[in-house]
Amino acid sequence: MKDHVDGILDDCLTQVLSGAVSLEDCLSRYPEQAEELRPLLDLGVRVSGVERPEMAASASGAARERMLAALAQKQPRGQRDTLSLRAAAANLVAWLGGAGRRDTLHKRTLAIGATAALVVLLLTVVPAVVLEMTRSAVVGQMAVMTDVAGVVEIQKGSSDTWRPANSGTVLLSGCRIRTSDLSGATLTFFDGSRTILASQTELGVDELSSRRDGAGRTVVLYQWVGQTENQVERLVDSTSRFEIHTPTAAAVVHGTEFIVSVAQDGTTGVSVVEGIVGLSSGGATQLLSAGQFASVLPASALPESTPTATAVPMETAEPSSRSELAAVRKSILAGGLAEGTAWDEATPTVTSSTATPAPTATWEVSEDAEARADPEHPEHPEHPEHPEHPEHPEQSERPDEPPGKKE
Amino acid sequence: MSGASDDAKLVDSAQRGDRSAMAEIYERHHSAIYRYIYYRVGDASTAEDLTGTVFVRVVEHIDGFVYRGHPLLSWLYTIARNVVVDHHRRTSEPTIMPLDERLLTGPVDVEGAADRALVQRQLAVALSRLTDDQRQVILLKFIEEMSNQEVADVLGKTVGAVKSLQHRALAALHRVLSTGVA
Repeated sequence: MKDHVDGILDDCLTQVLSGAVSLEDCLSRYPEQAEELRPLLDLGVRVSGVERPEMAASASGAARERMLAALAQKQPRGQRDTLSLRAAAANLVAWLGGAGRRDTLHKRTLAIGATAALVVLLLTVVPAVVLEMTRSAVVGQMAVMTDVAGVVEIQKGSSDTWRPANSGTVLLSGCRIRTSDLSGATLTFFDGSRTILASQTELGVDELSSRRDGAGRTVVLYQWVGQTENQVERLVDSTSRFEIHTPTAAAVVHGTEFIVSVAQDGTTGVSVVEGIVGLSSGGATQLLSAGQFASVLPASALPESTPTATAVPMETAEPSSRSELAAVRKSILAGGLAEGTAWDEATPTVTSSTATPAPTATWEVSEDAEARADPEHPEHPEHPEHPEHPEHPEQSERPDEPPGKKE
Repeated sequence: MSGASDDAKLVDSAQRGDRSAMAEIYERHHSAIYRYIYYRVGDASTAEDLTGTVFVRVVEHIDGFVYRGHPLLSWLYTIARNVVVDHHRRTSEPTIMPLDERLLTGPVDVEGAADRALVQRQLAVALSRLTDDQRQVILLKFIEEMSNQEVADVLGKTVGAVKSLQHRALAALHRVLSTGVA
């Protein structure tokens, strides 16, 4: 009986939903079941009429990119064709036994020998080589954008077009992000490190990669302008690096939290909240520890006379070379400077290698980093990263002004 | 709904790392997966995020997937179900708000998109009170508009079992909506 009612309900639903008959017409065919079926048929029709929720186009695109990014990190199975021992042995025998060799016994002996040789080869040399190649292979990595507020746009790879970015947007090497007024976003990298973009910031993602075995985690960013707050996971090995380049400097990081500001004229300010940052510009590097702030001025922004107590002339305005950055990273990883060790301004570690260099950038290092990097700082709202900027000479006259409190 | 041979080819290509095959799987099924998740969590933003997670898991696990003639969508629903369970575990409680609260906080004279969204959310809340199988048969039959045979293939049941399940599901949903249990 129950099966019978199930069938009647399904039959009526099919016909009513297809528009073949009306609900009343269908029920009139089954007067004994009409009372039981009416509310169920009515409900079925109403549920069918509910508009189907659809994914927003931007969210769908982001989810698709997440999936394809995950795919890009996988080794395709088709490229991992297993070696056929039998086929390889047969080919080897054919090669060895060619040229009209007809002695079956001899062929059999060769086949056994060749198979044995292949087995030895496969069990010893090949696994070691494959293992090493697999472990050391560098794979592209990704970051995910979250906490998007206001207008945030992304420019991907070779495209010149800026498109709106949303929470969930996947970032790969080569893309560029910019935030507008009253806007911001957070980038969470594959290793757990995070970069928070303030408003009016433009940031390029130059490299995101790691070795397949998890070592060599690399995040290289290029900050064109604006302010970022960076929370970097402790690097797992000496080949891992987190770097932020700017038009005038480069910050190399080892498990820390720091703020980078780049003014419109390229002046770079770096404030260290926690840990150690190696700041490089031209041919020199400087280690900054928690609470310290350093700024690097571009050549065009240098004042007539620069403060001699805190300034060290640099050789060139070009970003530091990889070897220089590697040297800083090596010194940090070697434990040459313990966390929390303050840099002594009286004995700067950065020097010029030429006798009379043409200064193109200038270092300034001071304590109380958070206050100087605070964009809400009331004394210098447009250039919080560099209170002694030439365009704000009034700041250099008030070096002891109490700093603003960072929220 | 895609045919069995289509699914088999797509799976085979995807297992060999074919990017276009994965993209095709996504294009075919992401809407259904999104709706399935939406009606489990009741929040569009969360459903969008979890839909992305489902397809990342597809990429991660497709190598181990053995095609046995069941629709690929059936496997995707299984992954989606696990993703939703993980989500609820992480957030410790379902994100669906009680129906009465939705109604109380909703606009009095709802029209257009707001009206549709409200109905969708009400349905999501009501469906959350059903069993997995009951909720699934409602979604597949009335939202995804599948035939009984297609529903049977996805759920791994007979057509007769689907008809019976449909009856029980509609009766349960009617009870939930009419008594305000949701």
